Amino acid sequence: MNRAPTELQQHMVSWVMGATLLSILPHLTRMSPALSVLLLLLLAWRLHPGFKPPHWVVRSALVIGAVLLVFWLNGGIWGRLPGSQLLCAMVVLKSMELQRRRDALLIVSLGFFVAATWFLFDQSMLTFGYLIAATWLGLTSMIVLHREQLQGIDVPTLFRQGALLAAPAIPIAIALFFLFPRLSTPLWGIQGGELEGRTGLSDSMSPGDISSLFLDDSPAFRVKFEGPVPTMAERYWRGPVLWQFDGRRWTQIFYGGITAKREPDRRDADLRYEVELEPHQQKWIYALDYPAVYPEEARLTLDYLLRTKRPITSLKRYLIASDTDFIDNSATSKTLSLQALQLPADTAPQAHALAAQWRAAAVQAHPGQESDQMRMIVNTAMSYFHEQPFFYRLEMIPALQDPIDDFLFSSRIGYCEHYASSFTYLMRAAGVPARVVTGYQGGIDNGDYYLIRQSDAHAWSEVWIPDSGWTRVDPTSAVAPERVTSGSRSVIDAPGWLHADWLVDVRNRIDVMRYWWNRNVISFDAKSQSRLLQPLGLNYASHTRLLLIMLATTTLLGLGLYFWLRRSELTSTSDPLLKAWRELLRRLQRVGVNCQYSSTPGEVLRLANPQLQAESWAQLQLLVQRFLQLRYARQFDSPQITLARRVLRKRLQQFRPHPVHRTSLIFNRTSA
Amino acid sequence: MLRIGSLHLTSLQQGFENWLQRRGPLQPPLVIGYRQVYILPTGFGVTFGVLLFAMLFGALNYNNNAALFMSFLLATAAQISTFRSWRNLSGLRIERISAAPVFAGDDAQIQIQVQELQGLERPSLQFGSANDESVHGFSLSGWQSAQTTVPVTTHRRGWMELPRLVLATSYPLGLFRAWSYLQATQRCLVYPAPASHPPPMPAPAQSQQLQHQRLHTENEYEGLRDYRHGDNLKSIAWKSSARNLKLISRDEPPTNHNEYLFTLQDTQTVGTEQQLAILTSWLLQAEQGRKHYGLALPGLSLAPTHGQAHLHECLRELALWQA
Repeated sequence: MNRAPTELQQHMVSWVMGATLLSILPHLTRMSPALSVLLLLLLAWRLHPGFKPPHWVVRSALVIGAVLLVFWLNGGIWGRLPGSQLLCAMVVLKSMELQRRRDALLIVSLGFFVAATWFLFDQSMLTFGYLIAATWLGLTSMIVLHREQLQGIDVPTLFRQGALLAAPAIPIAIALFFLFPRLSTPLWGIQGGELEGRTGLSDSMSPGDISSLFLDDSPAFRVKFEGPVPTMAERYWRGPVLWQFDGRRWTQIFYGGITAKREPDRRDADLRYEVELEPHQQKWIYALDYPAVYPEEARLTLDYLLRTKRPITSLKRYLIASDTDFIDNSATSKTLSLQALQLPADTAPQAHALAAQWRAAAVQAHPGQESDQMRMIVNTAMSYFHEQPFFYRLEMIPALQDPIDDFLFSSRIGYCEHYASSFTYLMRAAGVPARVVTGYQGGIDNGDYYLIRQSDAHAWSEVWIPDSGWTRVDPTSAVAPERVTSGSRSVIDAPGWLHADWLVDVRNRIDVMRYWWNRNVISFDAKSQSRLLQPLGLNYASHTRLLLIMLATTTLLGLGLYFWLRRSELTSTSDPLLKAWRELLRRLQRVGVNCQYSSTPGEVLRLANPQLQAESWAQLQLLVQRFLQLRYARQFDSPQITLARRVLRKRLQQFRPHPVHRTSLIFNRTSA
Repeated sequence: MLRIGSLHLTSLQQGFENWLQRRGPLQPPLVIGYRQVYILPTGFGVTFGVLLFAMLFGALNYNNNAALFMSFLLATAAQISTFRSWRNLSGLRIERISAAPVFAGDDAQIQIQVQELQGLERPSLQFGSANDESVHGFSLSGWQSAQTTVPVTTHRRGWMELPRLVLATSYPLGLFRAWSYLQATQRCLVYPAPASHPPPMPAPAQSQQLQHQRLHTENEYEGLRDYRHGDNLKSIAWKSSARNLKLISRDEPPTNHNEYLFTLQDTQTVGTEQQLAILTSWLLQAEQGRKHYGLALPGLSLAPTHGQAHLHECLRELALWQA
């Protein structure tokens, strides 16, 4: 009984290590295997019952070693990735000197901190749920650390006690979440230099780049249209525009990135929509042609891509209005015209020959009319792709010598990037200025919004015709028109059961939840907060107002919580007999007996005497006698006592007090 | 300057004392009410607060809503833990706080008797002196009553005022410490410390007369008396007990019939404390040797007999003796 309260017992160590493991686990999955294995081994060592704290020299060596390892693995120790790894390492190393309760408590609370830093990488609903569970375990282990003895307490009970701290906190935490005044601009800079885990389209295109995205089911972005929704075949989401070709790879050029000289008028915009872009770590955002209204931090380039100053590292929501009828005839400068005809030297002789043939036919058909010649060349090329045995497939045949010629004349099997690339090549060879545009095409209607997945990534071409400017041409539509009208999955069956229809359906449903989560939780900010009180008639919620409302709400919730806790603790007892007794007391209170839970059975009897009918009181008296006998029985666990207690419980539950009638009271008084 | 300072301090202390008194009784028996529970964050609680603050500011700055929610959740859970800490103390009944007499220099064991009245589990309770770090932990389950002790060092013989005591808990999270001030009902009696090397006991007085008288005053069954709590089982006279339908003990005969009457002069030393120390050790020796002994101090005389009660009576006189 008189154990020193700071001494740690083995089960406490296990609880603390368990909580630590749970909070660093997400980080372990992301860090280098060498470091995570090292940390896991250290945890396992500390868990071993025969653990002796290592000499301070060893501990210091471990700390220095961990810092060096993080430095070596990341090339630095600043930034969120090395920073979080360092935090994990420190928490684990702190457990090497875990001896007293204070150390254990500190480790658990550092675990909370480490868990919270994981949200810098991932704020999805699943992660959130997981880390709330980790917090629950952390709180429970803090409770365990404050119990000197654990006899008779099972693990579920401990978890329930942890839940009794965490669960009532949820409503208040939600109120604070929505009402605590937010910062509209950050107090200190947000580092944008660090990029990891890029997903989706890149700023260049080689064969295989886009087809590799076909299997990626993850959402790229979600769109909610206000007003008319364009058909699927019209939904070309513009990404990087590629001008430069080296025979294999298409890349962007500097001139394409300069600011547009002419922008669509916002009054002509016919589509309005809100995009919710998943972080892709790139410096652009997606829109339909041609954006007339776009967020402040973006800039419209000469090739009508919306570029941002900083990479998109967290979920981004923005409003766009597009003018679909805008004509882009900006490629009039000589540099750009030349760039749009650029081809690597000495490549694809067969393609050049074919293009020359088309050009000659077009010049013959429309002498002197450049625009018509170009249109004819485009149409010839499209029918060529349509009529020749081209196949739209995921698997590709590796090019032997020349990627363009091999594809056009021998393999003829490819994905959209092969068609866009070879089509643009042919156009340039035939003297038609052309460029490759990458982006997404289509997207499915997922109820409230349209979902565009990574698998919807696409590449197409644009050709420049003097009288109509840059015009979109999608060679894929000549080979597999369903790709454009019904989406990528309609043409190619994805391999494996993972892409079975019903599973895709389930995933679409999950995405609806994710969308809700992103919309209402993750992207809630100062702006949404200021609109929060509109339903209450307050158009703008200032910080003072918010603070006042927050204080009022949390006070009210706190009071409610207080009464709920008081009530629940009194009725919640593991002893069924006592529970029945308390329920009986409540019934007595209802008929006007002024008894409390803390009243002794004798008191209850005395208090009930004037309020109950004689017969009812006598019954109560018997029950009380029996209750006293059995509650304080010597042989607590004998089978007879257990049975008797069960019987008494039933009788306590069945007892209904009959109060003295008001009329009879009056009668008694008058007669007395 | 110092004087003014100390005066100021004592008036502050007095004020604190009065304030405590106004909030409720300090001496048992009492039931800890809500006005008698004080609560403040612990050192770890402050560290935790700093950590939470860092989390909150980071989350606000990066508008990281998941981390923000987590810091609010932890902060609210910490707040709820204050309720649990308070509930862990409030409603406990303190039956008694007392300390058995000890010899000066030994630790007095302050004993608290606590009873749970509300059927709630009360884990991780700590009992200790208010201005001392050493505490003793114990737990209570519903309707249980328990006692625990905390040692206090003693220095001088006589009545010792017991320090202010606290019943505290930092359950459930260790972020806050709730405590109640308590005061013992009685002072603790401190006996003089026995001398380490006492001179030999003086020669016993040959008083057959006394012995004779005593035999007559006892009841007719020689050497038999009613069972007293604490009597050795072996000393119970089972046959007589059966006859009388109550437990009867055989009075253990003294090993010899010599009687000792100790006086201050017998110690043959000067200095009251020294004399008292020697007397104390003689009393202990005599009791251990099952001798009959008495005490004769100026103005006070205790007739020779033996037994624990007699020993304590003698020691009490020594403890409170004023020259």
